Amino acid sequence: MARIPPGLIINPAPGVRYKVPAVKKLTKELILKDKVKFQKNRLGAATCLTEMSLMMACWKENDYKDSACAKEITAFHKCTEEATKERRRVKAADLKGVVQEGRLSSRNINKLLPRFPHPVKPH
Amino acid sequence: MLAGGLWDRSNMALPMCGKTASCRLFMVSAPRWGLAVEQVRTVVWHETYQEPVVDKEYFRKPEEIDGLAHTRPVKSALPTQSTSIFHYPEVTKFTSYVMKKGERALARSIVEKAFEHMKRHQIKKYHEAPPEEKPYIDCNPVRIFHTAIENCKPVVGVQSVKRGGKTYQVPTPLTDKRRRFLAMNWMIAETRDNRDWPSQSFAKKLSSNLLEAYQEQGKVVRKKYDLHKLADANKAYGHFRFW
Repeated sequence: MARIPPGLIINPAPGVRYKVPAVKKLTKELILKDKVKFQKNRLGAATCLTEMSLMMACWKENDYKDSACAKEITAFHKCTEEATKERRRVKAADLKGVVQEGRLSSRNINKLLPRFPHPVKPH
Repeated sequence: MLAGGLWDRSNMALPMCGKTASCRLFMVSAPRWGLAVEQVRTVVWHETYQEPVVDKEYFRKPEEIDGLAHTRPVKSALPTQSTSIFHYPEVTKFTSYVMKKGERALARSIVEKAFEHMKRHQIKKYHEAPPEEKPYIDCNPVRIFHTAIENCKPVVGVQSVKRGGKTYQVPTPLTDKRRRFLAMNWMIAETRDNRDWPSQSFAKKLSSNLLEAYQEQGKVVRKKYDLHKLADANKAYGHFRFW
C-alpha cells in the first residue's frame, strides 16, 4: 500500500486534499530588533604544529635532551610568540571596531545598530 | 621600560579602579541571573596614588613635567621591591612560592640558607678539584639557582580538551610565566614531599635539589621530561587545539 503523506485527509470535502493549517494571526509588529545574537568568534586553528612536530622528532632522536635540540626549541618559541602577538592584535582591532576577515563581530554590530534604530510608525 | 603598570607615569587622568594595581582586584563571577563583577582583594591606597618607580636610572635623569601626574601622591614600595644590585626578582618569586601563611621572613631565611648550603658545597668541590677543572666550577648560588630553574622549565605542556565525550590531552605551547611557575612549583613540591623529616632540613634538601637540577639530573628534571614525553605521545591530537 502506498505511503499516506502526513496531513492527508481521508474522505475530504470536495476540493480539499490536505489539512489546511489555521491562519496564525501576527500580533507582533514586523520590526527587527536593534541587536544580533552574540556569536562567539570563529574557532581558530592550532598554530605552530610543524615547529612542534619537528621539535618532538628531534627529542625522539636525542632521548629528550634539550641541549641537543636547542635550535628547534628556539624556533618553536619564536612561532608561539608571533602567534600570541597576532591573536592580541586581532582582539585589539576587534575592540576598536575594525572588520576582521570580512566580518564584523556581533559586539560591534550591536554598537552600530542602535545608532540607526528602526523607525516606528506613530499609532 | 614596560608600557603601563609599574613604570608608566604618563597617565594624567585618574585611573579606573583596579588598573594601576599590579594584581586583579575584581573578578567576573556568573551568578544565576547574569554576570557580576565582584571585588576579591582590597587596596589600602586611594585611587589617586600612583605606583612607585623602583629604578635608580629613572631618578638620575632630570624630571620632565608632563601633565599633572607629578601632583599625585605615590604609594610606598613593597618590601619585596628593591633597587639593590643583589635583588633578584626571580629569587623573590621563588621565596613567595616557598612562603606559607604569609611568613615571608621564614621563607626568605630558608632560601638564603639553601643558597649558603649550595655555596659551601661548591666551594668544597672547588678546593678539592684539580686545577684544570677549577674554572668550570660555579660558586655563585644565584646563578646555579637560575640555571636549575631554567633546566626544569618545560617547553610544551598539555591541555585537556573534550571532543565527542572523550577528554584528550592536547599538547600546547606554554607562556613564560606558566613555565616558570611549573618549574618552581615542581621544585618546591619535590622538596616538601620526599624528605627525611626532621633529620634533613627543607633548606638542605632544597639546595641538593637545585644542585641536581643544575646538572640536569634528579626528580624535578625527570618530571619535565615526563611532561615532554606525554606531549610527544599525544602529538597526533595537536590539531584539536583551537587557540
